[in-house]
Amino acid sequence: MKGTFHGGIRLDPRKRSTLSAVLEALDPPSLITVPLALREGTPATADVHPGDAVNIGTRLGVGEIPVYSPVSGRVRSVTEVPIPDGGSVPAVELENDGLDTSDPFVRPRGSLEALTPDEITELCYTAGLVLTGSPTPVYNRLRSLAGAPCEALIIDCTECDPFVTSRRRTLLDRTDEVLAGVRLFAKALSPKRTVLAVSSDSYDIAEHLTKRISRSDPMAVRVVSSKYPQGNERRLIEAVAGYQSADAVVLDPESAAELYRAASTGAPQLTRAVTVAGDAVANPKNLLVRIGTPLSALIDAAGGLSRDPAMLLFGGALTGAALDGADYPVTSSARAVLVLSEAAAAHTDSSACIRCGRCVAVCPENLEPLYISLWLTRGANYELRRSRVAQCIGCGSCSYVCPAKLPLAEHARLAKAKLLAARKTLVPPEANSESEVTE
Amino acid sequence: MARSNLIPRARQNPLSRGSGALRRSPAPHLRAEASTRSIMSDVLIALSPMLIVSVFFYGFRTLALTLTSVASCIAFEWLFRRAVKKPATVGDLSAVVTGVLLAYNLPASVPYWIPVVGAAFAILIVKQLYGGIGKNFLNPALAGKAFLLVCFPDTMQTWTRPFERLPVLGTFEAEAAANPLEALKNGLIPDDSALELLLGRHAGALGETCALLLLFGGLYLILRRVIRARIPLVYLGTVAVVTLLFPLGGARPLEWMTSQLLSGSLVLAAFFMATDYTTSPVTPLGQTVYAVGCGLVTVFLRYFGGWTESVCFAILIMNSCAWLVDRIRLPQPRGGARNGR
Repeated sequence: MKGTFHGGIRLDPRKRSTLSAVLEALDPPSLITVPLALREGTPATADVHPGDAVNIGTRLGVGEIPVYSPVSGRVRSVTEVPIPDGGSVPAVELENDGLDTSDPFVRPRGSLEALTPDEITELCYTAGLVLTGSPTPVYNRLRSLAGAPCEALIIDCTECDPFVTSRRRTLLDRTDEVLAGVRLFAKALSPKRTVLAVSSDSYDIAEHLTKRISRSDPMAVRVVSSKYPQGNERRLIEAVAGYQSADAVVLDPESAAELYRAASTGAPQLTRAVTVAGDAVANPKNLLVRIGTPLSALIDAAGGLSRDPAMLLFGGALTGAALDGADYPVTSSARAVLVLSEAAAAHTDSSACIRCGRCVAVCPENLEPLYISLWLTRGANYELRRSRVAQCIGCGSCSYVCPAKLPLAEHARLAKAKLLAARKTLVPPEANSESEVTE
Repeated sequence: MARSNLIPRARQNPLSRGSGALRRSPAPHLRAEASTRSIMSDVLIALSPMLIVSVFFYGFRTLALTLTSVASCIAFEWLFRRAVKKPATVGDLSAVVTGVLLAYNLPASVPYWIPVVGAAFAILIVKQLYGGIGKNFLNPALAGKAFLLVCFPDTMQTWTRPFERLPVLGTFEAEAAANPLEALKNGLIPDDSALELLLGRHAGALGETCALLLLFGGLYLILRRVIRARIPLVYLGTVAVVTLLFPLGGARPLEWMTSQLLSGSLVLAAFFMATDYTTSPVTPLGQTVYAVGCGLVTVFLRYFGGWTESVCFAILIMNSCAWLVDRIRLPQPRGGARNGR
């Protein structure tokens, strides 16, 4: 039986241009800028100084997790760089000598079987593994149960938003690495069951994975709905184990493949599989790119532009960030760069809400986006607090379906921020510590 | 500056920062195609077969009345928006839908000033004075009909026989025919058979008689996902159950129920007016409560009320409750271990 979740929307996949575009390694340009922090505001320090020689795998610095050099060459400067997820973070600018010399640090660690669960968890930290699409260390996700027994380990093999096929290609082109990595994840968490969740529109992936899973593997392929946002953590848990289920961990196949590489070769995370697509891209591709490569180099590798661009998106077309230019580096959570023409990009002339209720019907958290928007614009804080807007997962389904083209998801985001700010200013410090216990 | 080195300088490159070619807007960056205008177009498509049948039954006078009503609605909306210096909204076609629905609720024999007066009340007072589309708390077409029914009861209840086609212009002696609702009011099964009621060969307002075509129209709207089946099915279901359980005057329950369902404007209202987005609740629970309410009030007013047709009053009463019904907070189904906290 197909696992599914409440609400959600059906999207035109628009994946045809890159569906069979095998992952191609992109040679790094002569100059790359590697961000040291995953998001703005988190502290990060550089270990290297301008002029230092670096090799592939040399540690550049440490933020939430350590960051390594994806090229060999010389440090040009330690600077700040704006990242696509928003804001600026400390970064190291590297001159690539093109030799790809490896650091002595990068060496095999011996037998995979000998790794203990704690060593695997630690390896996720030292190898600098980051989740796909969300700037969160894999290490944090592995430790999210805080010692509670893991009911289910879910590997998110869905890719429910349009244009993007980088995960599909990782699953098909790096299958053995993915499955070996999943075995390591399973060893680290010792879950009651391990599930590879594949969406119902990708039966070829489900078949491919089923064939490659050996009989002794304690994992199974589970078909889940192809609705958006099936890839959301809670939606996957809902589809596989039921909405109320708490003790499940969701990880992704890209991290699994990287974990296996880290365990077998000693190499930390240096690359990302990135789909370069959209109707304004001449020759859409799936690229395996070094972290820190400017987005413009990816677009050039995909044949440049075929039409006038109207929007440059980093991440999916539904939740990604709209950028003002291509001079941003590929980050360690990158998965797609999309360039849309005026014809494909959403027009945003909004009209009055007609109360059609579509936003309520599609909301995976059963919120009422139209009322959240109304209370926000009216400044009705009492109603806003009762609206459960804190539960909003920001999937954007409400804005997508709105016939009046209202920015409902944006209003929900603003409402959430407003409530959070109000709580921070209104609650006195001593009451604050108490509320943290009850939350 | 490090930034300038990240990519080679290219003055005309549309992807470089500051070129102004790239738009930044909050996510999501894709939108569904349905718009207010496309939704209203679908409603008009669903309503149009009934207009052809009404011309067949009552002559081109029904077309002329409908056009008068639509033209008045558009004119009043355009004039009001212009007078108060607000952006024009006639392009969303909602005024056209109001005009068609208002006309469908009129007997074919009414003089032409009747839809003009109804449109003025519907558009100016009910819709625009409350802020225009999406802000009115009563369905404009139904409110217009109720206004006309209260103010001009005789004109609004003079029914003519189908196939006695009325002249488009000039005076005529309308031969009064019995609306099946009048028989039902007295606890009698109407003379018209269930088939005649279904096909529309009975006296009634010009766009409410052919239940079969209206059902097809409703089905079209459901298939096009313009409306959900919940409100019409629960509404009609409630009327069916109550009339089946409590027939008046010793009529056979099944026959009584069929006549109740197929007479008057019940089918038209259930699919096209009770489902009006603006004046119905948006939550599934709210919609069910609202539709049950519509059904109960309709039967109550049909049994004990002073008017033969009470569907419009029933829906207007439930319209007034829509926002309240939306705020019923029963235990929320989505309160998971992590989210509920």
